[in-house]
Amino acid sequence: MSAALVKPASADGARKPASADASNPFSFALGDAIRLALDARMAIDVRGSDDSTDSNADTTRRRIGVDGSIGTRVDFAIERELDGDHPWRDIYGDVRLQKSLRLRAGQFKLPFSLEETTGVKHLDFVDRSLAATQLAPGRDVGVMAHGRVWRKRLEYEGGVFRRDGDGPSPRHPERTSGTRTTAGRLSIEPFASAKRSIGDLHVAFAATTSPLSEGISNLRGRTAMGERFFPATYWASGRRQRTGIEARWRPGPFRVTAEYMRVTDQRRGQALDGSDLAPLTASGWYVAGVWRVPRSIGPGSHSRIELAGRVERLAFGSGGTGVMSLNPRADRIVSADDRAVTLGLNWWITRYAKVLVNAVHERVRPAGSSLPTTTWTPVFSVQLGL
Amino acid sequence: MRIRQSLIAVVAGLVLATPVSAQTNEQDIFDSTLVQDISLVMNARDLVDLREHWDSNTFYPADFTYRDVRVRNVGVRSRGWGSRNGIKLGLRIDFNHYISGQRFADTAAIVLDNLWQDPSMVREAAAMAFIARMGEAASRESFARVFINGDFQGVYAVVEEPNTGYLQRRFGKDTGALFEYHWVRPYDFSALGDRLDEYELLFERRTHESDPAAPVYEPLQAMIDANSYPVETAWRERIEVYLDLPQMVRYAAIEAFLGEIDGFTGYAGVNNFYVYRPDGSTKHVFLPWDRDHTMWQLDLSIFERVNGNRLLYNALAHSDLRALYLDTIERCAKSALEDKWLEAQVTRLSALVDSAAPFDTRLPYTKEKHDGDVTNVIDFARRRSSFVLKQIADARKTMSAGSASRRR
Repeated sequence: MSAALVKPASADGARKPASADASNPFSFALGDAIRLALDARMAIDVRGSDDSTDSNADTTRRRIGVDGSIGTRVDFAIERELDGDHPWRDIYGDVRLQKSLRLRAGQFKLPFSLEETTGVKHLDFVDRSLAATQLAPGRDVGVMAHGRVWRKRLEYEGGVFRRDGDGPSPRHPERTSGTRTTAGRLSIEPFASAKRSIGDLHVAFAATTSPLSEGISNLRGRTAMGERFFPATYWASGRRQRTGIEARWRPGPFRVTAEYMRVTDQRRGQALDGSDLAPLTASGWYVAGVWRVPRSIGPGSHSRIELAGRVERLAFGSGGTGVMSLNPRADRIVSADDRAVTLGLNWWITRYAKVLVNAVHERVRPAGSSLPTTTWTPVFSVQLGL
Repeated sequence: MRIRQSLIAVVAGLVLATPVSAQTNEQDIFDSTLVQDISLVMNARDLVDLREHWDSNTFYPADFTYRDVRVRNVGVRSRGWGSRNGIKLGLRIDFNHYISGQRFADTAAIVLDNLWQDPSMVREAAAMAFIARMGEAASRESFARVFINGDFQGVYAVVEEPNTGYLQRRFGKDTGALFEYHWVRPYDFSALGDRLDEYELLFERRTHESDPAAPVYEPLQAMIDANSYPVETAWRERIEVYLDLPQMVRYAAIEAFLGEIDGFTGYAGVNNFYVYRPDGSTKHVFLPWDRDHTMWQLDLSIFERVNGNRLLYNALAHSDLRALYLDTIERCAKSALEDKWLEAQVTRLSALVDSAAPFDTRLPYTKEKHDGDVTNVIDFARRRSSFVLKQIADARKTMSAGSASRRR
């Protein structure tokens, strides 16, 4: 549960600051000057395994945070994990400069990927899609202008960030990822004025670009269970570019989301003789659907059941010519991919407690292997939050 | 879920990866009558890194060129124990490191021996040629001028690693279990206990790497366990299930003739060998590796440090095996003398090395030291046979006397 206590600008239903939510019993106000909303979250995930002795239960996320507003122009959010090497998550302020222009500064998620920028409370599956988890940039320190124009049908977000997300691991100093990153997203609700359900259709295009210093690209592929299927061994240098398209539609009790994203890392001067290699590419997509069962099961008005399904693919490779090779300087590297189908049942017991049951079927073709492997993995999650 | 990362061949690319040339016979690279030329192309950054981290086993990608054959996507790393250094790199060329199944000259890997520890520069090649002459398995070897990114690196010995082509040539198939012995501490084939990781530490498997450890190691463990049985009673019956005893005795005898000081009866325990168990067999055989510590001492006893190898020591307690040991050494002595074969071999190889390039001043010995050591090796080749033949005669007398005394 990567909770976004203050939901990001483009997240599902995230336009209004939580502190303004009068129905939230954990929000406080000091007159009209300051409003605060507290949040805390915990999730316990149990993941199955082909090996019956190897299922594991983890208290995977424990987070606290506060968000709110000061006056009518300034919003803010602070969130951190209770443990971990990098506990601080969101720390930012967001100032309204004009009616359609806001400025956000601090550490927050780059505007890329509908799912990645959606708070965990609103996710339809235990885990985000493979593409959103591994190809979207995540959080970094930066400054971003954003706002809505054209009678709020068009939303823009554009900013400059210190790096391309969370940055390289100090355990692997030879690895490289994007440095100063420019990111932007344009979201549109083209039929917003329509009275039919099509009026809810949301489509967005996003892109990031950043210089990539010489090193081993940190692009790597892991399955839903965290097994490596594409190693981070390929040298890169030049630019990292990321493009994405996303869509969401919520007709009646249904909710359909889809995304496609692609990352390319240039490999300038990385051949054995110092010439350029074909770029390293990673691409992924998913299509997900949710049906909200009309009858509520459990106590309270928030209790509900949802049935969910998702198909997705995450693939790595390169263009280039010659023999496919695991050579970290090969023009044409050995490709790898993971295709997954996830079936889910979500039970909102109360406003504060949710149970998710997922079954994940994966067909993985690891780099260097001609034989794909297929697995079914059950995943169970209990999530508690204010 | 466990993704089994078995690096199965990207077979489709394989044929393309190893260009077949009408002009070049790849096997010629092991032609020891010529000095070969080998070129490597590496990324400049990788080369700097390789030189800086010569003490690590990190692989770097390279293209390997021999005559008009270019093998792309090979792995190169620093190698060696005492010979490893950052001045004249010892190199291992792994043809299938990045493309599973890629071969050159029927081999998955070759070593470019930097000739760092052998001032004569010919011990390794001469010894392996002699072992082959004696009918035992041996690496093919030659000499080569090595270039990296066009820069001359020096004269190297090209050594075939015991792997696919070697095993197929010797055993008809390469599907058995191959282990490379690693010197970790002085060891003499004493029992290692029940833990397989003790065996994995000393005997690195070079085939069946992704198989479960137990079926690969258990026969080897059984061989070493069998060596603990009382030599007078159950030892032979037990050990013969897991070891080709005559082969082991012949292997040790040839080493003894060559005066190896860092081998089967090494000065710091056993060292420098591979162990192979052919597919469908429980019996292991020994394969020689790294012979540059041969031919140092003319009068080294043929029984030198035999008690430092419990396997050989137990074997030589049996009269027929002791006789085989002596007979094999005698055969070596006669073979070396026949047409002055060993002396001619050493003389020819040293002339070849000297003709390859001006003397490499980066080596830790001078040209004078080199010339002097060549003289020593030639002297060994000339006189070793007469020394060991005398020892053999003495040993046989002792054996006869022992037998007579037992009969009485």
